[in-house]
Amino acid sequence: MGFTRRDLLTFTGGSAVGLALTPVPWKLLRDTSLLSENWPGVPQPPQGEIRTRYTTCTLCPAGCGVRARCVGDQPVSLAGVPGHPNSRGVLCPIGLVGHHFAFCRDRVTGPLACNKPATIERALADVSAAVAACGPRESVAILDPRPGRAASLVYRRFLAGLPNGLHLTAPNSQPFGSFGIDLENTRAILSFGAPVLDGWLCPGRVLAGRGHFQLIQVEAAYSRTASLADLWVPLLPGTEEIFAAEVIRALQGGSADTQAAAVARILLQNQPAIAVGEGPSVSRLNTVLANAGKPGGYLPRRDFTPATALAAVPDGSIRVLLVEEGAAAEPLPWDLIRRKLVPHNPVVVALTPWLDASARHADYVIPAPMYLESLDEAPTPAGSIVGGFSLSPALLAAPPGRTPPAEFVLRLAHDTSTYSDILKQRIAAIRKDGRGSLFTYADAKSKRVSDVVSSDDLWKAMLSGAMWLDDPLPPGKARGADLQAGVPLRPGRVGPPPPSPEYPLILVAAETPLPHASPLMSKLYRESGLRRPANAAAVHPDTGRGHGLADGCRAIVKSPAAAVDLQVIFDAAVMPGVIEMTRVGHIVPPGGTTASIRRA
Amino acid sequence: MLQKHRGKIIFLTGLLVVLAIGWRGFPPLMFRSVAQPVAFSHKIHAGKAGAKCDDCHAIRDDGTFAGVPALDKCSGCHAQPMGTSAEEKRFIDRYVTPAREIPWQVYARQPQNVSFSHAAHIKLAHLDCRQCHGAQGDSDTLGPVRVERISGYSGSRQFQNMDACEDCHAQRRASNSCLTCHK
Repeated sequence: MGFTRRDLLTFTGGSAVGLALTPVPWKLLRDTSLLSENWPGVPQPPQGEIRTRYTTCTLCPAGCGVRARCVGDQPVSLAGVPGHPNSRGVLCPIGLVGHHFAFCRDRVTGPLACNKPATIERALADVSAAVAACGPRESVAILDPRPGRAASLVYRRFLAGLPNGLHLTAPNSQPFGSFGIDLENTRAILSFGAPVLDGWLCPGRVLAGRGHFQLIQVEAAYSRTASLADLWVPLLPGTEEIFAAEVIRALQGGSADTQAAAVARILLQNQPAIAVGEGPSVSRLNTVLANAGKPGGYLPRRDFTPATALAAVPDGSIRVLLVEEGAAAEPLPWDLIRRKLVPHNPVVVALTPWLDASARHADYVIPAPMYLESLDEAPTPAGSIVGGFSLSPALLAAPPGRTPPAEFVLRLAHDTSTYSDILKQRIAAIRKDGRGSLFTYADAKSKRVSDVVSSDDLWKAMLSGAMWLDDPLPPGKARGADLQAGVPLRPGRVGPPPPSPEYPLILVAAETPLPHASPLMSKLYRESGLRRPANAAAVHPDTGRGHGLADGCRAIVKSPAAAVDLQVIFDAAVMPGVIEMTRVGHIVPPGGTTASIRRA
Repeated sequence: MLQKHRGKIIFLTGLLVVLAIGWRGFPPLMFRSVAQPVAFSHKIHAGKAGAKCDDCHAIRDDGTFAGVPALDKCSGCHAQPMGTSAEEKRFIDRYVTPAREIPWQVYARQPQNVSFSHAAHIKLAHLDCRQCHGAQGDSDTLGPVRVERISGYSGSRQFQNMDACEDCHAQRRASNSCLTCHK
């Protein structure tokens, strides 16, 4: 009897049952699921010796210490430096992924002149000619995102040699002037919209001190800081000024407002207390709280170098503008810059790693190294009560053709020094002064700068990962005028002015953006915010339709400060009559502002 | 009799044939052997040269594990030939002289979602290197690396697999939660 069709089916059935009892299907399933991890093009960390290297984060003014785990020469993970006097071993979500920035596809790959490839020599020649051709009422300016660096000194030297040189800085880049916040001794913080628990000052420092201070968050939106505060005072946008005045009256014993009285009671019971935010009301509150120059309040420090605020420059006066952009710094809206330029043939040079923001409008684009690709520096951390300085040694090799902004300005000034020379001079000056202490990252130990043998030793120590901390000013050394005037916060309003026909809406900041990090890195988010792109405005559907908008369309949001072109998202969670912007940049003060919106 | 159970016999034949192929014939087909680029002898280095394990595979004071040493560790002694073997000469010509890192094949290359800390296992759990690596430190040659043909990861029998990790964790009452090792 032959092998019949029935036999074949029976054999196949047995084989199928047998197959399920072998590792074959399970192994194939497992291996094919892992296959995609090794496809060509998927970056793989190189092999090599595992080393720990140290640097300092320069992505924001916090200046956190960074411990990098490197395989060979490639950093594969970043973490905080335990015991770091400022960051206390903590890195924010952006800092943790800082070594990924270099792989961004939006990088500038070579010098551009009018959006066409050019050589850096040609850019230097053209910019030099434009500087030389400046008229008597025209100025040459450099927009410095992080004043107080040795690079800032390079800019100032170059500009000092010009008849109308201006060292500019972005709004809010020096919010506390020559003062720092003695956060470690503060017992209460009254915040008007400041993202205290969401990236404010140095996250590690705030986190370390969180158990010691009461936080009262006055904010229209239920932000992450508001949700984690001890007391959230929800206000209608625009009423912050009134509320601040009520708190002052309550502190002086004269307010009938129960909420203001409750806030005043917390402030009085938890001394020393500070108020944080912008505007005259905050300054007055700090004056009433008498916290300037006292432990737990605003303390003056030595190293403050003021730069001119962009807003203080007359419109239409800048002929040549060099804009330095950091890797993660939020760029200024172009409209804010454009109005300061001369009407005809201004020259704008963007010194940037990104083909973004001002680079889109600049006449010349000079590619800068990305974070961790070149030797950089971190000046005094934001809000620090003492001066500080760290080097940020490179961990990655920069692609060819990248020019650090300070190097470009040195070449423009026909200075033969290098940026490295300038940094060495800065460190030599620190060693010469002999003040302060040196915290080394590798062993988490401090020693006096005067105990370091030479400036070369100090340079080597800082290249290996170290932070210099100045000595605090002795009590009574602060300038009397500063203390009487209170903390020199930027003048302005706490809340927005009343809506007008030209600006009928209120524009407020949504949650503090984490522009390069996933919202899922924080467990506190609004569900409707997850579908919102980074550069978008959210409005209530009724408000949007009332202004002729559709969900997802492009629109121009205009405030008294500037106008931006962005995408509109309809979100029923947004209050009617209000625009929420995630990438608020420099056009929305913490309390909000008035604005208009129209379809682009 | 045979005719009566013909169907069962054919079924069982199919079952047994596939079981045999699946368990005996299939697994070797899933792997390919890759030779190490250099014929390194732990035995010679530990014996004649008197090197200790942590001379090259050190856990530093800050708790980090040095892993596989870089070329400069080799170059310290092998800048010039120390012996007369052709293999050493080839090693110097190919790697030391042009300062080219050795592309070692990793026996325990794991998917990226597996996180393993040598420092935690040696410093905190006080495990001996041999517990996972066996007698690798006494070996005279480095055996070939078994690489899975499809996934590209290592499948060496010389090293721990996940079952062994779980057993050891269970014995030592360490956490066997997924997230302990899979980040």
